[in-house]
Amino acid sequence: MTFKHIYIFFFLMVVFNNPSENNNSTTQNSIVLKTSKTAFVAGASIFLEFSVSKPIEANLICTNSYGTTVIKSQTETSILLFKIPELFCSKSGILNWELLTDTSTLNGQLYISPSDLASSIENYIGPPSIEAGGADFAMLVSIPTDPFDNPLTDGTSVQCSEQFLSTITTESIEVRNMIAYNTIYSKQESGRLLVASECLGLNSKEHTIMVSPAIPSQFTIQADRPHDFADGNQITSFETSVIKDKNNNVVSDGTYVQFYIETHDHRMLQTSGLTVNGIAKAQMIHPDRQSSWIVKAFIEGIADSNEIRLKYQPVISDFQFSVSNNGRTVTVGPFKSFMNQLIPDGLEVTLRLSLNNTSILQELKASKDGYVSFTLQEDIVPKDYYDIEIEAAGIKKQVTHVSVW
Amino acid sequence: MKETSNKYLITALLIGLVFHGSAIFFTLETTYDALIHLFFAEHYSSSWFEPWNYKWYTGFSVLSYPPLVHQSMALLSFIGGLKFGLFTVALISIILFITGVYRFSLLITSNRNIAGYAALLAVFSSSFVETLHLFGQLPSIVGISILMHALPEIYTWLKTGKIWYLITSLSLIAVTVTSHHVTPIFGMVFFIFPLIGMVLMDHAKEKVGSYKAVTFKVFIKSFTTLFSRIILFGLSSLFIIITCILPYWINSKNNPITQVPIPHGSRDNFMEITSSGLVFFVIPWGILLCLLPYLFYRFYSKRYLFFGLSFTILTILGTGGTTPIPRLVLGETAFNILTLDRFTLWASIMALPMFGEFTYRLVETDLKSKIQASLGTIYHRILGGALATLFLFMTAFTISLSYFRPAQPETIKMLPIVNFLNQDDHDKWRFLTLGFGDQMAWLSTQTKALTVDGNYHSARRLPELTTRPIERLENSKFKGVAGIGSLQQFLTTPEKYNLKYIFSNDKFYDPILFYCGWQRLQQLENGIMVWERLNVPPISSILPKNDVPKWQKLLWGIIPISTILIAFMLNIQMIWIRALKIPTKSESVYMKFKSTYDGFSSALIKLSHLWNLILFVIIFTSIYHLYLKTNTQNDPEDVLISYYDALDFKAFEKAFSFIDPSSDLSLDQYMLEVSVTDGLLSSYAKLDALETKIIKQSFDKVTILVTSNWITPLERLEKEEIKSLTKIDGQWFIVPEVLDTDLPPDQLYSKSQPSFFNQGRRRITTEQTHHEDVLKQPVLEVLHAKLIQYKGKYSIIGEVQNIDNVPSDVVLKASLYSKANKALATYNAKYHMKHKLMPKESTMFRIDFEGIAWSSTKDSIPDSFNPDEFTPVNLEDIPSKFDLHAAGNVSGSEIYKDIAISHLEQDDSKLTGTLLNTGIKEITIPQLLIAYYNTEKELLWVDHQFIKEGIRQQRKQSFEYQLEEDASVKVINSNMEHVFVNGLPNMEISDKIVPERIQNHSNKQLQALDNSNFEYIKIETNSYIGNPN
Repeated sequence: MTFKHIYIFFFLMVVFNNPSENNNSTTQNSIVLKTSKTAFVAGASIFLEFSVSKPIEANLICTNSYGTTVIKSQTETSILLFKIPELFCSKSGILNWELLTDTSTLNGQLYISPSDLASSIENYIGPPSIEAGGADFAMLVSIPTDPFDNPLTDGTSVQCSEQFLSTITTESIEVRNMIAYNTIYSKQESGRLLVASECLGLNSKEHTIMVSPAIPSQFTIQADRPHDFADGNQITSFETSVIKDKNNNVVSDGTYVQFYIETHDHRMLQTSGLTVNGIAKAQMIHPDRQSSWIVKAFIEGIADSNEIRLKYQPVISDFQFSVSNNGRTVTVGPFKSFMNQLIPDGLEVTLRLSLNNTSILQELKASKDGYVSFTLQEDIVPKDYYDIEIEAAGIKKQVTHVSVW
Repeated sequence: MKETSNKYLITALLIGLVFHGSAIFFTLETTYDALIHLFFAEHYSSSWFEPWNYKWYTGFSVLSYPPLVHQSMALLSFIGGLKFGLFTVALISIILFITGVYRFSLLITSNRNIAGYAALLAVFSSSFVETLHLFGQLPSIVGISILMHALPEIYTWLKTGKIWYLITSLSLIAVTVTSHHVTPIFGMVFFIFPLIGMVLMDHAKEKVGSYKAVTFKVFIKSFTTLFSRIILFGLSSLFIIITCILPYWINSKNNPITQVPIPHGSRDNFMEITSSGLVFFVIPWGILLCLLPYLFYRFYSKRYLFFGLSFTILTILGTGGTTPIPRLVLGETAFNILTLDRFTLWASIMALPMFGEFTYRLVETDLKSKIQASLGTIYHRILGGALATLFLFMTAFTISLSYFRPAQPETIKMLPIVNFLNQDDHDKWRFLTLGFGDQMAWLSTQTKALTVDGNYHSARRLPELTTRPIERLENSKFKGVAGIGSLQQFLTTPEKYNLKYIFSNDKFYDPILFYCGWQRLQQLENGIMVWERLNVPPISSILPKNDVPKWQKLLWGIIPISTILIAFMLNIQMIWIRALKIPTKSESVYMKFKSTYDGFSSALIKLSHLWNLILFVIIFTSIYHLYLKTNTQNDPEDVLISYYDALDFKAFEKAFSFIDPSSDLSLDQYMLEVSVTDGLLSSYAKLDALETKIIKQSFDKVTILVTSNWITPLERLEKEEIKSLTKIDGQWFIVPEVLDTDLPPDQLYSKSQPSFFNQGRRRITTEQTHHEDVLKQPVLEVLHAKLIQYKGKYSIIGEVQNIDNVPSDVVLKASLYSKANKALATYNAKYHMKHKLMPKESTMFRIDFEGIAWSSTKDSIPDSFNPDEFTPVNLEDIPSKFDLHAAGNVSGSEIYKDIAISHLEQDDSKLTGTLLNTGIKEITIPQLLIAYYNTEKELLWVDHQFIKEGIRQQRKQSFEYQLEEDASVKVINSNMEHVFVNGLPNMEISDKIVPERIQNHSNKQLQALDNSNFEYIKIETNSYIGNPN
């Protein structure tokens, strides 16, 4: 046999043994994409057309960032026509397609751009409050979207308007990577900053950023008191100057101011106040004995005030007391104050009873109508001779060897 | 034979239905258990086949209680709602009980009249009244009633060997076990064993002709004859008990009750704790106590010998901790798990046939004639009248006991709470109720919101609960140290349980809520105060559960209800026969063993009289002693104790009666003085112990040192007072104390202060809160923080400041780590900080690491109460690092800062001083935070103290504080690297907001100490306002 015969023999073998393969190899089906357009605007209908030499069954796989779907051709003639689902047509971004037939695959990409109509504008602003002074800032993020909820194309301009005190400013920013953002720095003043944005004639609603005052700066204090006597009853009030931050903004209401009072014997008393319109007020009761105070107010770690010095004069220079005949009632008083008036109720008087220098009894009572009266009960104080000491308003008085029976 | 209607039974049923049927509407909902069963019923009505319930204890399985009663209620609830189900089941249980007693008595006495009497007596039996109207134990009642119905069937099976009766008895046992698990188990021992004994006796008697002739040998012979029937019955009922509630047994095996036993009144010594004695002994026994000699005499006759033994054991077990016998018999474990009142209940029910017999004999036969003959007709009438009066008095007293001693708080209207939970996603967090009593179950029934608490303690799962002998957090104040201790842990670290809302019906808990960092949200229209805690995340949408195989769920859902249907079908024939009086061929086998009543033992009459005389003497002397203790003033110490008791119960008029009448104090003045004192001690304390010691005494004057111990929600307080008493006409009176006469200078005060309101969601919408309405978290700065070891405990101390412009709620949470970065413990700051900070305000803080109390030493729980109890956490390694998270949330409530230190004095190791309320609200509980410093003015320790007395507006209050002396504080780590504020690093924040912070700003203002190991202290003040309006 010649080479040709062998060739024909083999050819026939192949033909008879594998008819399908034969079919294919003889008439290779060629598939060609006929649609040439690759860029679309969201919302437009998209058809993909393929020409095939022979009618076949083919599926088109579509993938975009939402997901994947398989669609069937609408025709089964020499033209394969695929209608991309509406959901896929309205989503901007890249749409990958892949045509699947039994034998071959064909793939490609479409680019769907957002429509140039803005239908909504989403704004996010945070934080809702910032500090005055120019260092702190909030950020406005604006996302204008088309009717299909696609963020608009990069480069679309968004007008960002701010109103603060008496000025209104507008700044143009551009959409980049689907969002437009603007950092809004605080001003020197505190107050209410209103922000809004606009895109392609569409307006956002109004947003608020509260610009609160920065940390307080130094302040002064002053004291106010009805008199300078140590009566243990009246109230001395302290008041700060209007506390402001370094940019002259009044600090926010409720700022806590601690007043420390150092007494002449180095005892640290304290009171506090909350600011209202920048002024904090605090109260302290008068001492009940001669004293002098150094008062200073603090906003911990941030600011403090000047020191003020207050002196309290003794209200009682002397007092009387008497012991009843049987020694069982000790009456102290009258306690007279600076105008010889009876001292207001509540002056603390201490009685100490001792027998041969050993303490028997210590009793504290508050004055009423200028007097204090102690009764020595028989069960506690048996009949004997005692030393009695009375202390009031820092003054001590004694009698010794009082007979109690 | 023709059977006539038993008029006594009919009467009993009619009276029972009218009496109990109308009373349950007033009693059942205030009982201990009824609402819990209602809660379970709600569970089945909403998810029949799902045994997991999320609502309580962060989830629990309803497989832990036999379901029949609950499922029946659930089925009935589809007709008329849950409460309809509850009351219908209660009515059914009443009918079952009365008929059950009738059948049981008929079985025992073989006499229809006696059984009728017994049924009539059962209606008014004080133990039944108590179980139903006071305890609300419906499953228990249903269980014992069905068991009584089963007894005649069992008898007949054993006696005749007819297989039909085996089937009917097993069907009834199945119903018993699916309604209450304990009843058939103990019922086997205490009811069925003696019944078997009685069958054997009867069998033996038939053999030999009379009970007298029954010897041990004959008895054994009967036993061997009937042995196969007994064994068959025993094995098959065991099989029934196991299979009918198989999921229950599997669940008990998989989740064994490993909890610390919860104290129960029935285990008390009734002599010591007379209230338990009343509820668990005197009431259930009631008039039966007078008849004890008769009961024992009858039960120890030969036929009932085994019932006698059983009755004796039940009687003894029912005495609880009064004698050591129950503990020895049951063993320590069983003694601590079982509630022993059920033994008394069973004993009293077992006694009913004999009680019926006694009544029958007293009213109709031999006892009547004997008494009339020997003591006269009049005496017989008086005796009968007295017994009847006493019997009915006990019934009336029992049913109205909750009126005299309310077991529950007043009924709370739940609707406002349910509405609150439904609003605004409030049910996305767990809630907790305080002071609701068992009504919390009713709230849980009505809402879909979850709670960390629960009312079925066997199902508790959180170790914080199971390691403590408390039933509920809800009533933790009654549970002493363990209760408040448990509650404290939940309040301090609520985010662990997603616990955000607390409904408080008891102002006792208010201080602990406040000082654990909670804030008042609003008062609902039913008067319930809602407290909330900020910074708690919502519950995740998927919650864990312990799932069980599907076959168990099916078994649980199907078998119990089918046992009723089967039992109904099997026994319906008998019911119809009885109801319609259809003549039967033969009467029941047990009707052959009638006793004859023709001679009542005179000795027994004498013995009974003697016994009642003794009882009378005991009762009379105890009442007399009570009278002496409470109503006379013969002893000065008793007077003081009565006085403090009166104060404790706020019976001020009574307290005033102990005050020296010769003093010029009028009642008006006294009441006024009492009313102006507020504070931890006078408003939130419960007297725990009182000790009196006479210091000086003369004929008509005495001075006593009174040391009183008070329980408060915050800590245990001890107060020492010296009281003088004077004797007037042989009676002791207390000399009144002098009131502080200090007067503020002005009449009217004005104060302008900022107040804040955060309206949350601005738009009325059910949507998620819009981002615009979410406020920025206030910025805090941790000024310094360090890990220290002091007296063996690890703590984190430091100072935190609110550097924002809005008031802030502050939550501090710290964790300890070992050198190898292993997390060791996490806890929140509790009392040692001010939880609310105004702008720029700072607070000292200390975080202690508390463990779950007694988790390792289960059996060494202290008996005494100490709310301040601290259990150091068990650390696996030595802590060397820490992290600290501070979280701020805007809060405008609880921000009263008007408190000043107006005087300070150091007296050796004691600090005394005066606080001044400079504001216009009354401070209920002031608190001092004391920070200790060394020579370099470095912070070493933070301590705190609550002041016992409140401070009225513009007034002073003195305080005393014991300074710490041991200064050996070991600073382990003061690296601030892992300190975070609102999730951001602390350093960055402080650099941004306060870049030029004045370090150690107020160090010059620290108070120097004399002669102390610590050099300086700083005092901060905090105040709780009880009534903010």
